[in-house]
This record gives sequence, C-alpha cells and structure tokens, in this order.
Amino acid sequence: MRYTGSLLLTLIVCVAGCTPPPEFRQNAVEVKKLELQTLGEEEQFAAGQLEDIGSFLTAAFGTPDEPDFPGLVEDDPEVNLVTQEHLVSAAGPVASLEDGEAQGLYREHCVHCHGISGDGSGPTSAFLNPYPRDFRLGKFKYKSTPLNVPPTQEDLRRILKNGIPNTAMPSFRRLPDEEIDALVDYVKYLTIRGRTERDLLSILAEDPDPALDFIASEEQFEAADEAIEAAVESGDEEPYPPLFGPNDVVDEVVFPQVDQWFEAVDSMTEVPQRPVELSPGHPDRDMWIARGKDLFFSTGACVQCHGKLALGDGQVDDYDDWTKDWMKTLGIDPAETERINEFVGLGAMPPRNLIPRNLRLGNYRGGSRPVDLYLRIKNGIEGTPMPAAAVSLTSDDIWSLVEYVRQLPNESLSQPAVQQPVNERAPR
Amino acid sequence: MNRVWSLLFLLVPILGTLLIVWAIFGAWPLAGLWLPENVNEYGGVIDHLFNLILWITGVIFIGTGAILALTMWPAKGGSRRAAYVHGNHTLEIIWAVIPAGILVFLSIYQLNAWAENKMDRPVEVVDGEERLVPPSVRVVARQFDWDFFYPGPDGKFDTVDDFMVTGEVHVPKNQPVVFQIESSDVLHSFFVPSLRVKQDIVPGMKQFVWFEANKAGRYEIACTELCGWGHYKMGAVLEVQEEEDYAVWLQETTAKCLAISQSFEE
Repeated sequence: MRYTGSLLLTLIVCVAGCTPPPEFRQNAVEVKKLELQTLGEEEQFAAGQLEDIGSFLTAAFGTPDEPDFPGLVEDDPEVNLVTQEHLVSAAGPVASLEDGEAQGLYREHCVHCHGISGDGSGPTSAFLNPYPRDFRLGKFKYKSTPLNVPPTQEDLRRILKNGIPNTAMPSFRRLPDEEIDALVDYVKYLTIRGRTERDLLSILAEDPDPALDFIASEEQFEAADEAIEAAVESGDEEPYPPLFGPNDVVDEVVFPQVDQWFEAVDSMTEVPQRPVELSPGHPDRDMWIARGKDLFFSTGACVQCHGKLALGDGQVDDYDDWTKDWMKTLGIDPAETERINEFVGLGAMPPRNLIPRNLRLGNYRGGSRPVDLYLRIKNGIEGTPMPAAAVSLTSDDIWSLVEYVRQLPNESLSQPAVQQPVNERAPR
Repeated sequence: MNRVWSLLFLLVPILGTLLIVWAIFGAWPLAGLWLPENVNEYGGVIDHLFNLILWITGVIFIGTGAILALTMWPAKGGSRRAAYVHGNHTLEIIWAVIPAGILVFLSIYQLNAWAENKMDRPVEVVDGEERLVPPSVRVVARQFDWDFFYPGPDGKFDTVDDFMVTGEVHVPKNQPVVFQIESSDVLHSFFVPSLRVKQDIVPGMKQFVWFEANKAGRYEIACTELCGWGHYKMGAVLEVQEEEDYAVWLQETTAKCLAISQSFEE
C-alpha cells in the first residue's frame, strides 16, 4: 500500500488533464539568425523586447485554442480576410458540437505535419520528403498568381482538395466545403501571424537598442507621451519614446499583408488559349512540340536543372528558400555540422537538396491540368530555384514547352516495364 | 461452484451470437459495423460464401460452447472428481477429418466465385466481335491517396489527353466496369466494401478488378493493407451515377482537367 498515495495522485492528475494548452512557438531560428546578423556572436536581443513581440502577437492573434485576428469586426467574408466562425472551427482541440459541426480541424488533419505554429515541424515532419510547408515565410509554391503575391482562395482550396501528388500532402476531398474553407482561413491566419512575427523581428533588428520600449501597450504609450511632455516642460532630458503602439503594428505590419491577400485575385496570371496547332491530332502539333523541345534546351534553359533527358538530374545541389533563408543568409556551409545542428535544435529542418522534378514520371505537384503547367513555367515556383519564364518567351513558346513536357511521360524511354497482369486472358 | 463456471462458459456462445445478430440488425451502438448493402451484380456470390461460412462456423461455435458448458455441469446427486484422460484416437480422427472435409468442400464449392471475380473478366461485343471490357479507369495507389486516371477523349491510356482525379472516382450504373489497379510505391489493397471487391496491389504489377454497380450513390474506398503512417486516412469515394449523369460528369471533368485557357475577368 506504499504507492496508494502516488497512484491516487497520478489518477487525479490524469483525470484533471495532464497537458497544458498548447502555445505558439517563437520563431527561434529567425531570432538567432537576426542576432548573428546584427549583433554578432554571443549577443542577444533584450528579453523584454522579444517579450513585447510575443505579447503583441498574443494580443492580436490569440492562442491556438482561442485564435483572434486584428480588425475582425463582423462575420462577413467581404470585410474580413478570415472569419471568426472559420477560425473557431479550425482551431482548438478536436471535438464536434452537438449539431455535428466539427471543431479543431487543424489539429485533426494538419498539425502532425505542419505543427501547432504552422512552422512545418510537427512530429511526423522529420520522416517526410519533401518537408511539410512552413507557412511563416509566407511563400506558396502552387498558385495562379505571380511570384511574391499571395495565392488566391481558390488556389489553396484546390491544394486541399487535390493534395500534392508525390508528396505526403493528401487530398481532403472528402471534407465538406465549409471545413475546407475553414482550414484555408486557418492557413492564412498562421501565415500572416508568422509573417508578422518575422517582420517585427526585422524591424527590431534594424535598431536593436535595448533601451527602447519596442511595442508599448496603450497605457504605456500614453504614459510615455505624458512623460515626454513633462520632460519638455521641465527642461529635463527626454526619455526614449516607445517605437510602436500595438495599433501602429497592426496598421503598418498586419494590414498591408491583409491587403495583399485581398488583392491577390486581381493579379492572377491570365492563361491565353492554347494554340490550335497544339491540340492533339493537329498535323502541325509535332512541329510545335519540336519547337518546345528547342526552347527546353535553349532560351527556356530548362535543361540546366531538369537535365538533358528531363530526368531532373541537371543541377542537384541547390536548396529551397526555407533552408536558404537561414543557411545561405548566414553563409553556413552544409558541411558545418555543428552550426547546422545548432539551428536544427532551434526548430529548423535539417538541410536537404532540392531535386528538380523528373518530368518523365507524369507527376505534377501543382496540378496536372495543362493550365497548371503553363502557370508553373510562366510564373516559376515561389520558394524554389524554378524561375519565372524569360520575358522573351511568348505565350505560344510557353504552350509549346508545356506540350513538350506533357508528352515526355508517354515517350517509350519513360515507360518502365510492368509485369503483365496474371488475370489478363482472352474471352472464352 | 461448478455450476457457476459452467454457466459462465455458456455465456460465450450466447453473447457471441447476440453480438452478431445485433450487428446484423445494426441497432445502436453497433450500427454500421456489419457489411454494407451489396450493390454489385457480381458481389452476390461473395455474400453467399460469406454467409455459408458464417453459418458453418456459427453452428460449430455454438455447438462447442454448449458441449463445453454441458460437460462442466455437475452430475446429479453429488460432486464428481475430475478424471485425467490421455488421448482418444477416434475423437482425434473425427475432429481432424470433419474440418478437413469442410475445407475441401469449401475450396471446391467456391471455384466459380473465384473465377467470376478474379479470372473471367466481363466480355462486351463490339462490331460483332467479342472482346474483354477494357479498363475505363487506371487506379494508382500511392502513400496515402488514390489517383484515378482516365484515358481522356481518345479512349486510350498513355496519351497526352489522359487526366487524373484524386480521391474520387465515378462509374455508370448497370454497366460492367473494369479498373486497372497499380501501386506507385508500396503494398496497398483496394477495397470497396459495398461492392465486395478487394484486391491487393503489388508495386510493379498491374491487376484488374471488375464490378457492375446496380444502385446509384456514394461508396467508400479504403486501403486494407498497412502501407505506412497515413494508412488510416487513405480513402476515396466511389460514386455510382445514372448513365446520363455519368456522361455529364465525365464531360465536365474532362473539360476541367484538360483546361487549356484561363481567363480571370468575369
């Protein structure tokens, strides 16, 4: 009976709930990177200033259990980029309400790869190739908008519905549309929260004077104003004014991003009709495809990365922007295991080369519609070394390239031998 | 005390039978645990075999349970001491020969079911000539999704107008349908409970499955071979449609998946 007491205690603790509510993780990689860049070795940002950023983020964006969004007034998708209703059903622990409405969708479907903070380092992430996306950089690969413009609502919906073939991102087609939209909103929410954190850290890094009050609360802000006025009147030395009030941050850092997301739909790339000469069966099709092949090796410069046989074996030692963001910026050599491990310990994924796509497999991650391929070539793929098409390439050129690439998997070179089925036989 | 044990053992066949009957009727909380309604013309033989085996095993299960309880029931008028029995040739031969006989009977009895579902692909008559129904969809399993490839307008696979839909496949009602199934990575198994169709998929091999759905609706497709961490959520939807609806869907999907222009001015 020696253990009765401790057993009882364990039972009580477990029944009462062992885990504290989850919290968003600080972007420690970005903090370390900026510290190394602006302050030098061994130096750190003032803890109070980092806390300022943390408490601003909590005040503006809430917690994983109770998310919030700056400027969320009414539940109207026309006014708000994300709606309260969507945030509530995507966030929080997994549950379903009495009327059957789902809650905690992000934690049910996404969190084990993308992580609670949307940093792409959930528990299963280490086993995946490619790694799950870290939303905080604000870069999206497969979209109908040009580089550096956020994806449209429809782009994100399509990714959720189709998944990303040849990666661990599955299709969520069986979820009702309402739940897909809720998750899309939550992705935007995590992205903007992550970008805001990064932007604030960059602003801090520009002037990392520990004496500055980085983001003051409203009361502190007013008190500081009064203090400055008093100092001016009495002729004393003026105290430092706070850099920012929370409203300034929302106006100057959050809202411009929200505007970008809203305006994305206006900058969608138009895809002109594919020339009739390229439609299957047209007598000139082969000629046009030959032109696409020429471009593949010349102006298009596709051959540099995708290789002479389009097997994705041209250039194979580059990295994606999520890795370059800290590794290349700080000039760390991938062979410097100790320095790499320091960042991996802070939450970065171990660097891995980004291998160009093998175009003979017929696997198109961003979608297999001809327009998808057109958009990939025209706009490039954000966050990767795949560049936007050279300006000198006309839409006809790009369509020739698209059709050249689309017929590669059907060339005999691309067809692997498959054992004939055992249950293939002539009719009796 | 012996009576208590005897009755306890008797509970096993009683509860077991009750549970199965309960599940068959689908009453709460066992709703949806039994096999769903069969909607496949070729699925009847599978159901017949399943029920036959269930009856055989059910009778043996109840019988052995009852015999066990009966032998433990104390004899009238006093306690009986347990006796040590060493071997009984006749009994051993009986309980080896009877199951063996049942097995041999089943393996011969099911030959047609196997042939119908795995060997004799449906035949269609085109231009007065008989030929096997060609696969209308190529199912490619991957970790952890089902991709459905359609041959496109030209009706041939491995041409430039093939297209692919992930996670959802449509088929027409009352028509023999053949799927060609492959894996792009590891072992998977294609299972449609409502069609009684199940086929393991081996990478590097292709297999055919066929069925003729006779009821429109949306049915579940599941992977039934542990294929990795995401196995539990590797599923898709099979939608059986009336012929006209299917034609419309195919046309719309073809246009959508082979989109060759996109204009955003509305």
